[in-house]
Amino acid sequence: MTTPGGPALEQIVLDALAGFGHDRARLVRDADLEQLDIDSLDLIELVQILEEDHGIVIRLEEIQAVDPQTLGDVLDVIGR
Amino acid sequence: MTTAAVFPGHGPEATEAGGYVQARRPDLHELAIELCGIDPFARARESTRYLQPAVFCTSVAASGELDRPPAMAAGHSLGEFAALVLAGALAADDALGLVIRRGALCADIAEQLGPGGMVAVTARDPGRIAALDGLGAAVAGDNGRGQVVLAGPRAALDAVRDAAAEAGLHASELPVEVPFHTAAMEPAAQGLADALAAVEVAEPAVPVLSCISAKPFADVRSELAGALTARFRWGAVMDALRAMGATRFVELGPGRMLSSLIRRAVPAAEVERLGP
Repeated sequence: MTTPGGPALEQIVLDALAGFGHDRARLVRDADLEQLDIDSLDLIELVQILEEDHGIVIRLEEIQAVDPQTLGDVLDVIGR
Repeated sequence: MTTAAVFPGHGPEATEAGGYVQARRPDLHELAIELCGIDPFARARESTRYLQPAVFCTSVAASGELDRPPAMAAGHSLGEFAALVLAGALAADDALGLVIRRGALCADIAEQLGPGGMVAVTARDPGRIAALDGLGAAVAGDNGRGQVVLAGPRAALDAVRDAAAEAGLHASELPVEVPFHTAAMEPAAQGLADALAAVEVAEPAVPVLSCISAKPFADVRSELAGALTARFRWGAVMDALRAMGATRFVELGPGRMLSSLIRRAVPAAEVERLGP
């Protein structure tokens, strides 16, 4: 399977988070995760969607290891 | 806009909430210190014995910040006590005494059982949770949206974590040392029933949903005691609140666990939280 990257990957992540009930308009790179109310349950589901629907394997621990503060931090880890 | 007030169960964030409660409900804080024999917030990290009254006091203090009375209420596990206080079914002082007794009974069981606790497993396809059957952990309840909580002794929890990883499921340990909502809690349920027999229970001013039945409490005493050994059904509670017309959910207390679950389960709802 060819895995998406760059803007396509970012779109997948933002669509997934919007699907969890987050306001799509507020999902921008420099938005603070705490202010967005994005929590570990969001990241768990995001990791599962990336792997099961898009073949992108990333462990939750890899995201948590960088202690992400902004949505951009999360996108950067996933896009590595 | 129809408001549902919801109250979290165990919330480790309550360990930092002593100042919040002292500023809003100094009477309750002082009573907690008197009844516990020590400030429960100072010891909440150590044991459920102190964490339970700390969570309860935090939720009751947060209730005072509601802008208007809710149309309905529900609590996740321990949160049922604060929900019943908000609805006027239990007096705050009585409920604090019950919660302190509950915490002590649960801590006693944890000490007798030895190391153990609870683990939350998340799967987009709930059918895959079946891979975790027969490992010595019991299903304690569900949080909706594919998150199931299992409880049991240390070895069983380790086996669940390993099996979950093999099945591609995410498992995360909860910061509790007690297998709540399983048969192991029977002695605590009996002790709590005895304590409940001695307090007055009034008719709730608004419907309060039991997190076991997902229906309004019909018999507060027996349902509060029985909840310790029964599976919680938070997914069904969220569905029921929505079916009863809730369009705004306010989480009252430490942490934001319920807000996160509700945002997923009821995407159209307004979700707020009040607390430290």
